[in-house]
Amino acid sequence: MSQNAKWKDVYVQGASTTKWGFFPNDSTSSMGSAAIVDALKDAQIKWGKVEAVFAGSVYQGTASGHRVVGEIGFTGIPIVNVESACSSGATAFRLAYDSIRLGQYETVLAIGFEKMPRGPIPSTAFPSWQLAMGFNVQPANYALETMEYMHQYGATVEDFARVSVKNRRNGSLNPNARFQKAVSTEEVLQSAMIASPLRLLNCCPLADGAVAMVLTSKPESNRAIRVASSVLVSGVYGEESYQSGITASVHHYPSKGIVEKSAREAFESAGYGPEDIDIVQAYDSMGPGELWDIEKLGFCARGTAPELLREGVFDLTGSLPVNTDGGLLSRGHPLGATALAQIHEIVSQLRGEAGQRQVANPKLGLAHAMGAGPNSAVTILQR
Amino acid sequence: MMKIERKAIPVMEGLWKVEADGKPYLIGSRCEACGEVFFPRKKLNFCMQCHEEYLEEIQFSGEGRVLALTKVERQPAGGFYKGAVPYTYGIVQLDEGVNICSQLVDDPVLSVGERVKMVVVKLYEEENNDVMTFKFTAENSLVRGEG
Ligand SMILES: [Zn+2]
Repeated sequence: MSQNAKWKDVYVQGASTTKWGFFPNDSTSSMGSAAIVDALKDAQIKWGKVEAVFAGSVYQGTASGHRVVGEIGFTGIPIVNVESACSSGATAFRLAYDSIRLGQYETVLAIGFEKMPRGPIPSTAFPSWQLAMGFNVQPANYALETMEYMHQYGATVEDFARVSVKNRRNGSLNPNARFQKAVSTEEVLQSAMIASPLRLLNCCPLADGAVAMVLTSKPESNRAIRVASSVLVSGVYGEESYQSGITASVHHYPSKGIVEKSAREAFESAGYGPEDIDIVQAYDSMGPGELWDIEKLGFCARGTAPELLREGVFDLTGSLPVNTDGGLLSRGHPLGATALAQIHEIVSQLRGEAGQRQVANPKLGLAHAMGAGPNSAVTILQR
Repeated sequence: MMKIERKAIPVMEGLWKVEADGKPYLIGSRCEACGEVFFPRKKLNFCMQCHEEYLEEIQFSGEGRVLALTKVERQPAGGFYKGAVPYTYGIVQLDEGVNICSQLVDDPVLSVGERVKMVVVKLYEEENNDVMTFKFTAENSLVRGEG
């Protein structure tokens, strides 16, 4: 896949994110357009150079990307709105990446934005009888995979609490995170029960905000970060995908699932392996998910992530820092923007611009997002 | 005054049936080409595994074991769920080898690996109807199905 000589190298030339939080007075178009303007400044290019926009969001309704771009000014370029649940931002990124790699455009924009609606949210991710039975509870669906993980590998609630402690500690160093306060293991274990065994501090908070990224085949600054691969896998036949609320009610199950497949394709396409990666943004919408995500992505054997976490391997000072910006657990989870926010953090780290949470000299970073559907998106970036 | 009769209606048609002796069973599909089995029954005659068109309706025994379970402490978002809170649901592996998502009657409390059987019970009341669902409960539970 990486050997096609005609394909162009793709770079992130500029990147920008808003703060993440609850902003009742801001619209998605105001947040999204602010992120675009900052990303253009960061890339040091004019708006007129952008040839296409790929816009990811989940709950923003019809032509939401057009409303954002409308604030900047229409220039006759195509605006493509994409929705793939919590991996929407990575899907927009993937389309932007492909459009340049395949030579269609030279410079494009990938954006993600979200403002969580208040009140009842219409769900199309579950059939109506499953909604009536109350199966659309995301912490509960994670709790099911958590139970299996505990049963199979002996992981404990203390292990899961440590994920929250690490990520909230990282988040305390991130001025854009929704939560910038560290928590203790005891605080996690004493927080309100949501869906046993998951408690409030095992679950990520929602958030509003936006992120924008300029991608190009002609980088004009040494701050540009190369996109080594960008992969989206939407579903593997027969896989139990609890985190997406899906039970495989079939007889034949695959030996490997959607996360493993997306990681394998991303590593193959990039020409690197897990051992080459210096920093990871794993999908931690629920704390336990980070542990099995690291394993499924191929960074360690199944069941061993809790021990490595205890040893500090995934800390900012460890050999494989994970969720350096605090992850979804601290940053918050703006559904359609989340995956691009992860990519943004990798870009910041590889540029050496991550401030107090900067990791020593990373060269390769990987971001992984899941989404209902199911979807699994892996992006590998290189300095 | 006219007396309005309460009716028991299923949360969705076609998920289960009740035999003459009162024993309920779940309805699924099996592919005659590759042997794949699905729950719920697939309306479209198309096998998602082998992509052939040989699906037949089958019935499951309604017995299995708990693979995972969770107790939900808060009202689910969206207003779709009208049953009692807290409630317990989980993954039940039917004896036919199919994993399904099901609410669980957790009195007595269930644990992973435990044998369970299917019952049909009330999920919630709506106007003059009792909306019924299948659930799974401990094999030795005294919970009796209502329909
Ligand atoms: Zn078949």
